[in-house]
Amino acid sequence: MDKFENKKLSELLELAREWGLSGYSKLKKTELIRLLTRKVSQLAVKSPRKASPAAPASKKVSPKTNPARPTSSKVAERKAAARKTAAAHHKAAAVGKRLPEAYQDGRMTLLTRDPFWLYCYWDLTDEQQEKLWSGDNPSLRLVEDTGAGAPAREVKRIPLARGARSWYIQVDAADRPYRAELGHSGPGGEFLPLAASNLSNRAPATVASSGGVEFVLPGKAQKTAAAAAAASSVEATREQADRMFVLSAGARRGFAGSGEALSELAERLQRGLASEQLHSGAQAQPPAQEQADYWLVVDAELIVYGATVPGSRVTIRNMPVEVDGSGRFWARLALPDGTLNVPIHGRSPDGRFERQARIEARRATEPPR
Amino acid sequence: MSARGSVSFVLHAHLPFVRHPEHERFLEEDWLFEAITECYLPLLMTFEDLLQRGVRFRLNLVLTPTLLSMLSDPLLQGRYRRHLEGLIELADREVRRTRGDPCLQPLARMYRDRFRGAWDRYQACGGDLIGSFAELERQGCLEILTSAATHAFLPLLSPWPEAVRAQLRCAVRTHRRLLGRSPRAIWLPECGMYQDLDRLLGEQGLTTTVIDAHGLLHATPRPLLGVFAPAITPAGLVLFARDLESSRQVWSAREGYPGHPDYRDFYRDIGWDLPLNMVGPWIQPTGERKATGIKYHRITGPTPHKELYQPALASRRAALHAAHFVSERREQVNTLAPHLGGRDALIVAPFDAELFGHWWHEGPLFLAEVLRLLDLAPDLESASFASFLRASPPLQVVTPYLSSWGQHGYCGVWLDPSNEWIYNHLHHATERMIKLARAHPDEKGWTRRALDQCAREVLLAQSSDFPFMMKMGTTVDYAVRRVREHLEAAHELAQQIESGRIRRRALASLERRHNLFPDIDYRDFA
Repeated sequence: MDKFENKKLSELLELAREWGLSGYSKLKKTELIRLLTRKVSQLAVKSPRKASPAAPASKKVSPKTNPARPTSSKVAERKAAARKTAAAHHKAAAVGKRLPEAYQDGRMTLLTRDPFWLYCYWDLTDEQQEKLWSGDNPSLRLVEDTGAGAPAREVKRIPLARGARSWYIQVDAADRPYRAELGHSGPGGEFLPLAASNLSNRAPATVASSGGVEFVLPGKAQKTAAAAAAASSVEATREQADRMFVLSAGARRGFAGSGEALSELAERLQRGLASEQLHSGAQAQPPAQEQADYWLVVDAELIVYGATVPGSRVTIRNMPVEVDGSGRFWARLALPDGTLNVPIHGRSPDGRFERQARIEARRATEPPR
Repeated sequence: MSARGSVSFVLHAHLPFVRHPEHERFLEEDWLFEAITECYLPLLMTFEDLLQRGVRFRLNLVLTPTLLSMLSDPLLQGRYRRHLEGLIELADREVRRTRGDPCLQPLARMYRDRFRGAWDRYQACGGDLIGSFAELERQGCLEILTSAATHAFLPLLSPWPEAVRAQLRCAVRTHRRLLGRSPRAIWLPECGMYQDLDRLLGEQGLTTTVIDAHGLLHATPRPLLGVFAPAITPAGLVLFARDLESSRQVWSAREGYPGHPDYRDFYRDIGWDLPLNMVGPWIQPTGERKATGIKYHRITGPTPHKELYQPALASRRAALHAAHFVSERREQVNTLAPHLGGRDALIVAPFDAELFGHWWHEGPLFLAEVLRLLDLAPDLESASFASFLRASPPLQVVTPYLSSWGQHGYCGVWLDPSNEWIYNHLHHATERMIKLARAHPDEKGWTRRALDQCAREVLLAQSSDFPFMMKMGTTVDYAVRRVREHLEAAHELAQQIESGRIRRRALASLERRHNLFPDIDYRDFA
């Protein structure tokens, strides 16, 4: 460890302090070096901190993905190596050595992941668990919060497999606050809640109405005459809002010739979904009660979406779909095993132009064993 | 007379808190060192140069509390100096090695001069980069934004407003301590907005923020001016929204400037290319290779074949791209004008600061040229948020909901099967911290120190960077280790506080290692 030899005593003392060592202040230089060397070798044994092989790629990458750089095969290799170690560590990561696996504090948390998926997890007390799993039809219930005093509206009830601790819940639109509850059925089939979550964040996937326009001057609480005048210089109409929506999405020269703008518009503004990553069984039917204690069901659907000139006529698999005021459309399709061909056809509002696209999706399910 | 418009750049400079006194050389600390050499110093010198040349420019710069903490940390400053000295030595050796090679030698000299320039500038301010940026703010060129204390993704903390408040209070305090003034504008980590956040921001005097385009477009009621004018929430938070078109020109894989063949290639680095005996001391002590920062090739094309970098060619390309960017903005402003009711268009262009100089070597050149052209243009100008609002434009009142600038625009990046396991632990620790803060309204001595440290650990565990790394599959083991380390520390401290038996030596050691936010106040969680 000649790297220590070259240092001054004061520097070594500083190092020992930085490293959180104790009892070093009275040591001679040689003893201090021995202490530091020992510490280094201990660290090397205790935490064989593997340098990530993906040095360039391991730099914190922006959420916008790093800019277009052609990657050499070398880089791809390094990335693959990084992924391998990542996967290995992920498995080991779930439970900390000194962290309890659960806290059993009865907490139930509901998070909005995107406009179509909520994520709920819970950490029940022994008593709650006992009641939940011994009750009839233990289930997760999603209710819509309709404001103070009003009775909550049940949106869906998801039967739970014994031991479930979290769930991805699909909703038509997370544009209203939801609450999740855990409970079981009472004698009359009514839902008996044992735990309830917070209210979820609202995440609309579509544009709001353009009514109720109000302008203010920054820093001033009330509307002023000047603000009102300024407001009137822009028409408070749906057409104005539609136009600005499209312009804001980058479709500056009209829709023609900005293919990427359109797909980005569709992706960022219409859908917030990566369904292939989700393992929610929220849509699945539970098996009959007499089956084994543990069960698993899987299913998949296909969501097709896009955008075009407002007023166009669009079909997906020869079925007409609705094109909204901003030109956006989507459809949700069943995706059985095998190959699914999805032709998409668009015709301009005046009928003069036509475009066609096709998506081929292949599904191969290995049923639970 | 053509239409008028403003372009408001936002450079988001952020790194998670990475400081490991227990190791002499720590791979992840390189993130900071690389960013200082390749990004923060070049940007600083770019702005100072523009100012000296009399160019009038304004833009927004985010300096997150964790980055501020690291930039002002004496241990990391000392390590950075050693790191830069090493780089200069490596560049000197490269100049000697390439003697007689008319192609490589000028490139080696370029790096040597650049590193020496960085050294001189760093020494000139005594390592106080923050002070230098603060001076630019005083000159009116920069508006410096804060962010949440440890860059927590706030929508996933929203069930605990106390925790969000603690993130914000600690951020404001750190900003004031290191930059000398209270921030008015905040960069929400990952642009993560949700519907009640405006009120919490307002409580801390934060009145301006940036959200992604769909965050504003999906607000209620619909914004009549799209993303081309700021809006205001009922609680008084001014919302600037990202313009997708200008973003795409810089970021896009297909149309983006930084991928041009003339620009320097990021991945070819002598740390990978040269024999071990030449770069040995500059890569990992274990012998594993890493990038050094000296890169001799240009992007050239999509194949692994790379040609040598030609600085003159690259500068010319950066100038052309800058001219293109400005002319595109002019065209955009002209297209928008008929629909804005006589108002000037505003174009908000936020980027990760590390794009400029680190990923995109010529980024600072491009930015300088854009700012210069905007100053020359009679119809366009660069603006900071504050300078734009100084004209008191009327703002439409809207209520925004959930949005972020992450992939798909919501929370999916930070809440996903790869990282969902952290939330039960994280939320438990958060809730426990809130309870502790309420149970101990005014502690002194060791209990106070334990409570403060517990608050630090909880804040650190909340960093959005860790779930992000887990999701992206980069440095996953480090991210997992860090989240667990902070959660475990918080867990143990909470147990000690609850039992009244503080382990003082362990606490003191923890305070030395996780030493950010010296003026933290655990009561922020109450």
